[in-house]
Amino acid sequence: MSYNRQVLAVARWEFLRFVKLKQQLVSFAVMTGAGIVFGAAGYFIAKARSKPVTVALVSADRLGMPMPKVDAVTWKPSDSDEDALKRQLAAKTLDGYVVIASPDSARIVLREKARWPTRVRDALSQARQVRAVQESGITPQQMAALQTQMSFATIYTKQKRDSDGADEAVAFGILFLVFAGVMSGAGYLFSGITGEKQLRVTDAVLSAIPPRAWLDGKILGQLGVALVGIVNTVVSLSVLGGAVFFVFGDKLPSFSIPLPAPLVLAQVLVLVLLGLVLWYALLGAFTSTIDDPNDSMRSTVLLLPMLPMYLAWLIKAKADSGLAVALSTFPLTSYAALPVRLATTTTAWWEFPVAVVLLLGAIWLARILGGRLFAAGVQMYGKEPNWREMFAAMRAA
Amino acid sequence: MTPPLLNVDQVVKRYATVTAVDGVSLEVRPGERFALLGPNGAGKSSLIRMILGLTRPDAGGITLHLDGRVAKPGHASAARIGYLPEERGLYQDVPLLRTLTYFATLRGMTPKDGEQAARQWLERLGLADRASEPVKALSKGNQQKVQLASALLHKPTLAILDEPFSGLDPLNQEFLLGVIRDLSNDGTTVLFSAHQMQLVERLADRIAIMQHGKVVLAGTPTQLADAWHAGDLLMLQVADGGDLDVLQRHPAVVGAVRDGNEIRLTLRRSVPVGELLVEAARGFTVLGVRTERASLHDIYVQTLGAPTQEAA
Repeated sequence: MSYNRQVLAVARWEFLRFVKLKQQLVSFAVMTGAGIVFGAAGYFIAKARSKPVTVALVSADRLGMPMPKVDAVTWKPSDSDEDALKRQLAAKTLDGYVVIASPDSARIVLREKARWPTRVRDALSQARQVRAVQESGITPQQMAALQTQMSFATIYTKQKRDSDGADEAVAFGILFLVFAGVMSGAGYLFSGITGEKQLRVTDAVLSAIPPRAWLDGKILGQLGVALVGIVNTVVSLSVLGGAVFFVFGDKLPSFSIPLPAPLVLAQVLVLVLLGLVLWYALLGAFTSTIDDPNDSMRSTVLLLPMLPMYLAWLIKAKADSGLAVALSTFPLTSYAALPVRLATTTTAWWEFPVAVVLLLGAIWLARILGGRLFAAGVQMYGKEPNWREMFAAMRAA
Repeated sequence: MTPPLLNVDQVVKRYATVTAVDGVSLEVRPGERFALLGPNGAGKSSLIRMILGLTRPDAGGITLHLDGRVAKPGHASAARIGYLPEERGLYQDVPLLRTLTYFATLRGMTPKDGEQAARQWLERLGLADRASEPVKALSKGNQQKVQLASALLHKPTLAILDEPFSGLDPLNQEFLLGVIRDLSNDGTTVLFSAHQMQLVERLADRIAIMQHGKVVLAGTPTQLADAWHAGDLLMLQVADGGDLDVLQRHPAVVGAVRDGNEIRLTLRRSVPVGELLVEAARGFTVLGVRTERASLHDIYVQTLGAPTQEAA
């Protein structure tokens, strides 16, 4: 049986072990359901907030101008005294009443906290300002000139893409998806390998295929799992986002998330996939040395892949610094740092190919050394190899 | 002359300060059912792991002749070998059919052929209607049978079974005995280790007994029995009383056990027993005498030098 067929057999097994169609459908249904519930809840809350109210208006003549129109508020002029109005409030035939004390002050009385008084306050204040402007003799043109701010144009001499903060969103999105991919793969590798050691499956498998084929198959399978996880995350967030826009579309501030150019997207994909392979090879090999996952201090190594993502987020502010370029080239960090820089700044032409070549070299080395460590670690029961034994295993031919 | 299917030549394996296998040489011939016996820690599993290529010998060599090809232990020969490890282990949360199909594909079968073979084995194990259940839903005995199937469904040339009978009830032991015989009848060579002497006696064509990493006795069951010569157990029916020490110290006796009114004496090879009978008549009221051929159990115990003791 060829090496590649063995790797594919393991990859298929690993993928199907952790990606179950039924679970995926349930997860998607839950997210869709959550989106629908969230959307419906938002719709009803918004509807409740704009519920029409009837408000009695007392002494409106003291305002010195017509009462302004307020959204979803029906004014009901009244001559009744306040005791009578309070009784109507208690009987819920009124939602509240406004007593105009002078052109500059008023009193709002209502049963309990509600949103309509804010709208009434805003409308009255605005009407008062308009009236004040009219009384001062300033023309609308003069008023507009007063309110206009100075116009500035900011020009950067260094070449940089236009940014309106959307780049940050793209960088965050990339890091979030990489994080999801790394952590899901790391978690599955950890539970898979330590589980196989505890279930004593290792001898049966290793009598059939070489350790490196097993590790390579695991890496490939987990890559598939991670991609499904990433797609799932994107689809789920899209469903939720769609629900939010469906309900609040006209009330949300206008913004757009510009997708990076196809070439940048392709570069990001290549870097992320290679980075995942590298980290999976290292984590898989190292996890094989863990004897009991419940009390091994080595479990914390799973958090290591988060460090490059943290660094990538830090260098985002100074995306053109020497440190940023170095992190974008170093294989253990380039898969997170360079995608962020590709999405947020202009990189030198050589950075991507150099990062890819170094990543491929690191993967080659990690597969050889990791395969040896995996071969030794996965057959070791009852104790964990110390660092000296681990280095000895990696040196062994 | 047909070369041996497996040739182990002066193999040594050391772990830190322990020599697990110490200069072992043996041959397993094609179609043979070869038993490796020995106490725990004798080096059987270490030897098996080297034959499989899971570990490498520190000295000596192992050669396999599989389907006309000479091969060293390792993954080049893995597709023609079936292995039941001593440490049983299956993916607990995976359905039986998928589990078996996976192991078949690891051994070189296509997924389609693997699934077909898996279904046949599940039928044979009486588990066909549970094919979609996870392994953990099965009893321990059934899990063990599934594990055996996972080692054999690719029809290996050499089946290596490390303690296949352990943990099985008598009925399942009989079932397994039948499976191994069928395998052998189909031409598969079987190398197995076991502690169940009566089963080994019924199954093995040849036997090697290991102790402290060395083969201390090897041959066919008849050859092993001959090593202790026929009629080498003397059973005495005696009345109450008497001192067993007298018989234990006799030069013709290598072991003596008393169980109520029966004394079971294991005799030293080629030593006349006339004097012993006289000695017995002096120390005991002998009611009856009979002889038995030594069983593999007796040979095993005496070969490995178990201390003589009076049964409670």
